[in-house]
Amino acid sequence: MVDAKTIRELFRKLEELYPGMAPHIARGVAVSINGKIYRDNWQAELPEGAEIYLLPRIQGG
Amino acid sequence: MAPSESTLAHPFEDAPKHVSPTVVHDPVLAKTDFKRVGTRPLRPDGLDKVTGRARYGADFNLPGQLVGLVLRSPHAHAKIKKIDTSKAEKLAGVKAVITATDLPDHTGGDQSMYDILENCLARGTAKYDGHAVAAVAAIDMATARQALKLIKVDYEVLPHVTDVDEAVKPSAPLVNPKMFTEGVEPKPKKPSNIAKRTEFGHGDVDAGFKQADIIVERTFRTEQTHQGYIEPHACVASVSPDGTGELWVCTQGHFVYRNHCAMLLGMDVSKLRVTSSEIGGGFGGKTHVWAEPVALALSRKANRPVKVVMSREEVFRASGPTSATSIDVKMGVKKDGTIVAADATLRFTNGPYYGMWAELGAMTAFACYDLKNVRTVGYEVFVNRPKTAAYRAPSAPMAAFAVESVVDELAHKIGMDAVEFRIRNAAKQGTKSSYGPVYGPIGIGATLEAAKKHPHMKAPLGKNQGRGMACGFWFNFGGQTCTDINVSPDGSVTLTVGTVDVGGSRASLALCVAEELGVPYEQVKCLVADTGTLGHNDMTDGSRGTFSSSMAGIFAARNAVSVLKERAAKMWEIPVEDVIWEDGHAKAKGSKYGNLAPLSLKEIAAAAGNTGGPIAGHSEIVADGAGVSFATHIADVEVDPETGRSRIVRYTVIQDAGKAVHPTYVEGQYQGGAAQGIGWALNEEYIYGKDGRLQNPGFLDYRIPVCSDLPMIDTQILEIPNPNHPYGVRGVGETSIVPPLAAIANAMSNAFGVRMTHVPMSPPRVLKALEAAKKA
Repeated sequence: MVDAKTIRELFRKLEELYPGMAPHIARGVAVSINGKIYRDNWQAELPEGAEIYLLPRIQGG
Repeated sequence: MAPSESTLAHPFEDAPKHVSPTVVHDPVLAKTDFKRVGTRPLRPDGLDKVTGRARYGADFNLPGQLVGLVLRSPHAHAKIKKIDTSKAEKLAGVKAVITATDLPDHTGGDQSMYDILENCLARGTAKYDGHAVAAVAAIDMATARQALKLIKVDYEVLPHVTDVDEAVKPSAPLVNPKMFTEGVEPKPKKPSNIAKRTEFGHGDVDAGFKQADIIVERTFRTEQTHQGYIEPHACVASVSPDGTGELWVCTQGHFVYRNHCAMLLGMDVSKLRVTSSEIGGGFGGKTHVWAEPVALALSRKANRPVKVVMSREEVFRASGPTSATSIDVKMGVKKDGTIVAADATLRFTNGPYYGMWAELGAMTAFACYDLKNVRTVGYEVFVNRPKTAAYRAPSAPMAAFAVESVVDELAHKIGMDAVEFRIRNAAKQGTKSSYGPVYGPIGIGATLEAAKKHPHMKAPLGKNQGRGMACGFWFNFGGQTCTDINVSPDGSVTLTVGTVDVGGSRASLALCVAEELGVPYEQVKCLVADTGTLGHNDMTDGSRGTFSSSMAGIFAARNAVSVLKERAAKMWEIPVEDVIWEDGHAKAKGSKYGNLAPLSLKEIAAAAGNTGGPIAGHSEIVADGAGVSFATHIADVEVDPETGRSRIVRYTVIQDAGKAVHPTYVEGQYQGGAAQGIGWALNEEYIYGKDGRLQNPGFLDYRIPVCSDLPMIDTQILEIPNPNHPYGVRGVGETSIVPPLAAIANAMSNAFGVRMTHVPMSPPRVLKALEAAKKA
């Protein structure tokens, strides 16, 4: 369980709790908040009870 | 309330009667009173392109410019023991010769950038046929060619592997002996050609299969294809002794090229100015630097501008094609038509460098469906082929080929109509996607319902013809975007963007800004700025160009409107709070201003010098919230049973656009993606010899479809608005390439009862399948 209010805080706490995630986060991670995908926005807020997914940072053509 | 349907004037007068493009509007779109968005004005770049005035990558020239050429490995895998450039350097007219030592490592431990560096000029090992090993700059082409011949490379040929299924065997030659598979526990003790394992899904797949009445399990293969853009990579590089540089280049993302080149050259980013040319196609292949750092390094060494233009052979051998794949799919269904379990294992070639191609295939494979039990596993596989690059909805077409083929087969086995079966299982708002997040408003169901009603589904078929259909998904994304609007003294408006116009975005962006400002489309001129003019912009990829830059453009226009209202208030000497903006005019609100005639944008612009100076609007954003995109395609295919040759008789694309800003361009994207998918399905493939060398690096032997190979492709645009964009826009550029492989395979299966599992379904493969079926 990670308690975080923003994407930045989520990343920081995940890196502290699970150091193995640090290289994945550094490589690029997108965050889905209630189905809306954020690629770069650290300041995006994580509403209480929101569905949060970490996804690879998609490449496109 | 049912959606309304309007048939718009078709841009092709000679289109067959059945081709009637339509736009179906969803009534929930918040903004519906569009006056300019949704119209079809002439493209601003059209005249230049049809008269030859447009400047593409190879059209830039500078005084004193040299010709740059690259020496490439003739081996699929070889240790480079020594490179002797002395004779080439002594040749009259040669101004610079470089090898990897002229591109020292400035990547600071960034593996992705190091891979790009190594791909630009091999460092100790040539990893594929065509891998660059050295380069020259000379006064003319003849001298440069002669110089290449004088470079002596001492190779030690190593064992190679080019086939995806061979590469994953424990006995396969190692492409990178330092690669240990990521994503598996415990960590492997031996290196492998499997770079990474990824897994997605939810539920209990094994339990799901136990509920199934019918299970279909098959293995599929797709061969490597190239984006096939008509314009080869080209650039002119000029590096000054003062450490500044300029690059004119054909690219999908000049800001990203700037950042990458500056890092690889050890330059400050701000000291490298990159200007993008017009682009003759990219489709993902121009999201990555190839020869550009080499051109800059040559220019730096020669102290002269250097032009590098890849030949078609070089484009095939040494730019970035898509993956070859091998995919296992297993799906289970109940007799009532409910899919109860879905499982796929996807092996995708990456070339010799780390990528995320199988991962994207794993994420997209089952994204069209609402599944309780689903699992996908992806394996990134190293082979001695060129570094894989993105190709239009990268990895989704191959995954869809495998999954949609099995979906069709399941429908047949339970005796259910293929469209009804998909409608029953389609994802919808609130569905937990197979790659994780829950969907918001999406359009897969709407595309299927539209397909069900489409006249194409009921049209009679001829002899040796079959009809197939398939669905496709792509994510779409936004990203960093920076945009300026400047109002000229005469009231004309310049919109400056940093996303390269690949598919007509200048017209669409001008439409959005004209809509927001309330001025005619013709009053807005959209330009693509160089990297010294705007803040960073991500590339035109992921179907983001129009989505992101229109969002930034609309916000910039709103900022400009704020300035315009302030200026009008000053002209009227009233509080700005009493000024509103309507239909391109400032209006004073309230009866007390009844005698004040509205001020047009032109009138306010003319007075700008006396009210505060230039009028502008700016926007810098991260355009998040790109809506996912779905499509359904219908294909009629005729197969000659004697030759195995296939012909596409009729083809229909139905896709959700969110909001079609310029419907003609949207239709063009739908048709273009379908055309590329048809080529991929029927003919295109990289063919390697036993020596690991590419056998068909040219358009004579690598056959892309030409106009005479294709029917007029019918389109239907659905508008299910994206709630995260002010006008409801979604990306539209990529999804259309996803369904064709499967739609055509399903059509062939329906015509002959033979399930094709290997793409391309070229005449020899079709004949072989037909003969095997006869014997069976």
